[in-house]
Amino acid sequence: MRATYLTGEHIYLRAMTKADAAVAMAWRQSPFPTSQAQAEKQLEEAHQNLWQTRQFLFAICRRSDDEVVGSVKLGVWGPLRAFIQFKIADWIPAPEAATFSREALRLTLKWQAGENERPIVVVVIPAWESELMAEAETLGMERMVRFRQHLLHNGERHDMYLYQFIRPDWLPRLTNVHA
Amino acid sequence: MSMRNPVIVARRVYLRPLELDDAEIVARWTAEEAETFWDSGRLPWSPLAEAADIRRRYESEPPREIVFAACLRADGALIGTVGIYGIDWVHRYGETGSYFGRTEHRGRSLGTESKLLLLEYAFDRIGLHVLQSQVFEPNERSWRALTRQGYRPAGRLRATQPKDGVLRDTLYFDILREEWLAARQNWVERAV
Repeated sequence: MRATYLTGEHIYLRAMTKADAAVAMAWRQSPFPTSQAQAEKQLEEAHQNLWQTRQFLFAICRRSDDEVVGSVKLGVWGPLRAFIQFKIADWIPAPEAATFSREALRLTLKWQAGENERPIVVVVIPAWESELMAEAETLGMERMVRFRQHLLHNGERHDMYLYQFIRPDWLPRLTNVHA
Repeated sequence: MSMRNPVIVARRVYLRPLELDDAEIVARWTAEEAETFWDSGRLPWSPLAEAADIRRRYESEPPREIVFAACLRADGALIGTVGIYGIDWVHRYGETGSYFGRTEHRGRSLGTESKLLLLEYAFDRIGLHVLQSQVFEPNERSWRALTRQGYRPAGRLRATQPKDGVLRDTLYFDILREEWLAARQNWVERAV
């Protein structure tokens, strides 16, 4: 099920399957527990009508053992824009989690902004994910929105950022009154 | 005139739960909308869709969205809706939005008074920590109102929607509970 064109050095992305319900806490982008049966129902409901779907969920799998280690939520807003949010399973050690999320960002951005020609991509990054922020900036993304104290993490409140990528060759066609 | 099922009350307006019989009125506003600066353009809503939204919002508790009817105290008339959307009960944030359908109810601070009641509800009654709001930049009336209500600019996403042949930005704002508390006394004196 591995998407050959969404495969990196450490991870790959693939479509969700019914079997993923057994490891729902690794990929569900919610802190609340859910049973396998309920996760299965949610997966089935989310995959009822592919052609009317504007929000997709993909599993992030570790290449070394094919284990599900997280997910990518991809929202598609019209022909021009994509919106991305990552979750890496809480039990993955921090250095490995940072590697996975950086790689997932690279794969998803290249896929959406490149071959799928969605020149505007937005990703949500919590303030404590400094390596993902650095990766976003390396990839040409710009921090555009800072929501103050939006997230709780390790007992403290943190900011939440929206990073935006606009494909340089599209920029003249997306001319903004402020450009 | 007695108020219908009030939740929170100010001098000129009060907020109450939206009822199914409000759906027809809200749908009529969208059919008679005079402004064109909305990010997805003008769209006449069906009262069926509005009623379904109202019904859905009461199905779970705590809810993901809380939307109130804003009503005039003088005659009980429904003049708008104010709400908190995408509530995250773990991180305690949400996104506010409002819609005042008739031109005679715009530009008289009735929206701001209703919004301040919503902030009071959000921060004081259900303990949210921060609220955000987004406005399509051409909707100048709304982003100016947010600033008056105490929201601070959080940034902008570029080229989000076309308007008059140009892709325009969406502006983002947020307001912290502590900022609301600091400003609260000022508006309580004016509006309550």
